[in-house]
Amino acid sequence: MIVNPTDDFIGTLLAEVFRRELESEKKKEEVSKWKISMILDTDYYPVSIEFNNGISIIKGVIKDPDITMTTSMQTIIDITRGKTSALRAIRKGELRVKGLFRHPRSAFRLYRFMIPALEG
Amino acid sequence: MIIKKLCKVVGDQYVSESTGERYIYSQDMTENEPCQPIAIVMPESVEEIQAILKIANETKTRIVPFITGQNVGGLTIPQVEESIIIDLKRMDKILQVDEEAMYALVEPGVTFGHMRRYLDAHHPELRYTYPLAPPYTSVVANALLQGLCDLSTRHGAMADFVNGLEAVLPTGELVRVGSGILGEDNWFGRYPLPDLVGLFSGWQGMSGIVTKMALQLFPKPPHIEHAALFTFGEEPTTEILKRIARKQILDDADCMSLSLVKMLLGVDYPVEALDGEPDYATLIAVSGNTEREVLEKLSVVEDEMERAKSKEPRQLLVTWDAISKLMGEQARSWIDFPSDAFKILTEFDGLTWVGTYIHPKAWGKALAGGRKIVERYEFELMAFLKPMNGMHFAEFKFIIRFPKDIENIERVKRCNSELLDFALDNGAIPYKTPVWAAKKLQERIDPQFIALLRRIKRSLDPNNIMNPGRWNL
Ligand SMILES: Cc1cc2nc3c(=O)[nH]c(=O)nc-3n(C[C@H](O)[C@H](O)[C@H](O)COP(=O)(O)OP(=O)(O)OC[C@H]3O[C@@H](n4cnc5c(N)ncnc54)[C@H](O)[C@@H]3O)c2cc1C
Repeated sequence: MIVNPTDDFIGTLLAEVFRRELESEKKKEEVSKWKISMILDTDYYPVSIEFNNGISIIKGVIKDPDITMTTSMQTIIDITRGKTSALRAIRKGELRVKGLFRHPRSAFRLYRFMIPALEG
Repeated sequence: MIIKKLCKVVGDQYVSESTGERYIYSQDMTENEPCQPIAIVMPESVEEIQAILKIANETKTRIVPFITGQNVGGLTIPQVEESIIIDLKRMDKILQVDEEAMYALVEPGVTFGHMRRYLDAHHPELRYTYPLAPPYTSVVANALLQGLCDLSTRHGAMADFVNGLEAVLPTGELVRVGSGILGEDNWFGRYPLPDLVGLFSGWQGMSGIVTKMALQLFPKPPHIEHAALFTFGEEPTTEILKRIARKQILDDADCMSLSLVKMLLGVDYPVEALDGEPDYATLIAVSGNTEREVLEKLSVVEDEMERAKSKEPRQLLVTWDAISKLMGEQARSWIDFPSDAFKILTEFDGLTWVGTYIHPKAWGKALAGGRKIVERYEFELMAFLKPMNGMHFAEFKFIIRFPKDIENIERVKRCNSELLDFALDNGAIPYKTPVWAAKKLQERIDPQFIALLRRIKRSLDPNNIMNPGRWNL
């Protein structure tokens, strides 16, 4: 399964994290079946991530994403370092998720994929 | 005739006049014009070097010392026709390591890779300091060029690590400077003596051939931590850097355009700086005898970043645990030197920079002004700034990698020339100066300094055989 190369900083970091996460055959099989689109909107800039028989990451926003996560790079790093958790960040308003009610399954899948990937 | 004599000294197999080899030694990766030597000679001992220089002095043959030619300044390209290159790679012995006074006595062909491997195997409590340069480059040449390594933020330019040296003068005599003049096993320092290391350091092989050098080692600290600062804006970035460097807690700090980091992360050429990305990433290293000492040092850095965040919330400190989690194993190669990580800079046959040492007051202006020049010439934005010697000054440069075709070489020449003019306007002094850069520098500096250099050169090298034309002397 291919994670498309990107030329921006956040996209490159995410691609590297996803690539490592997808070294597990089980995960690869599971993720390859997804059709999910999301925007990760950070205080640096937004990136869009599409899961559709592979993962493609681009800088900027796509139209009508299933899920939009809004957060800061500091929060992403704090989650990576275990200084906070995604749930705690959501409770404190440091991570906001849009589309949760319209696409609960996608949101749950992304949560289960991305958070352990970031936490290492 | 001279070739026959040289063959007698070193043996036929260590003298080459072949077209292929003369072509290889005629150039380096920079934009500087090639010039073919007439031969390449590879001596193995001090006696052989003495014999070579005596012959050269008698026959007025021009000599260029060479180790791996990776100086990125065109410094081993002969400046006059009919020169002979003396390649010192065969002299690659680590002669002595003194555990107590903490120094290593090495021959010129010893590389950073040799040094690291040898110390790790035989003196695991000691460390040397390493550049971003490839592991196969020379420790002695790096010190002679007054370069910079991963303890330079704390201890200064590499010439400051030299305790003393032995050299063959252009007339063939063997001399020593530093405390080693009092006999073997005594290379503890340069003082209290007239400091004659200066007759060789920074001279680009114009004053003799260094055959041994004593270099300071340091205790390997039991605890080392790294972190990265991601910052926006030239002035804010250099302000943060100055505030942190002034605390005197850093072993090392490398501030670089984010494009350099993206290059390390595998983004393809040409790497572009994109809107919204931080402008700079600074890798820092702190060390200590206890974990607590290191954490305290890091907390000082954290406090400074918090202060910076109150003005620009996006300024970010990322500790190495997070970077390793995000980037995996490869992150190690960005901090554990000598390393091959930066070989990606040599992806093309062309690599160059105008490196300078610069006053702290000009750091922000230099990054901003240099950036405009590089962007106008449409090269990748690869600035590099390292606070040196506890922040008394910094090393500052813009790195350019390029495919070496005529159009690119011309563009590089114009860009570097503008960068140097701009750097000189800001009081920066170029290091590893190719001749064109030395000329520009000489137009602006105290003429008595140049006159003094010429006098010293004349008295050491009456027949002007050592690397003539270098530094435009
Ligand atoms: C990708 C890359 C990254 C680099 N990063 C750094 C860095 O971080 N810091 C840094 O300081 N440098 C850096 N360099 C530059 C360079 O590699 C180092 O300074 C290196 O150690 C020089 O060694 P060399 O074998 O290439 O020397 P050479 O190029 O062979 O020689 C350099 C100069 O010294 C003279 N010379 C050589 N031997 C003698 C001698 N025995 N006696 C008298 N004169 C002599 C030569 O004539 C020449 O003028 C980098 C280079 C590259 C390609």
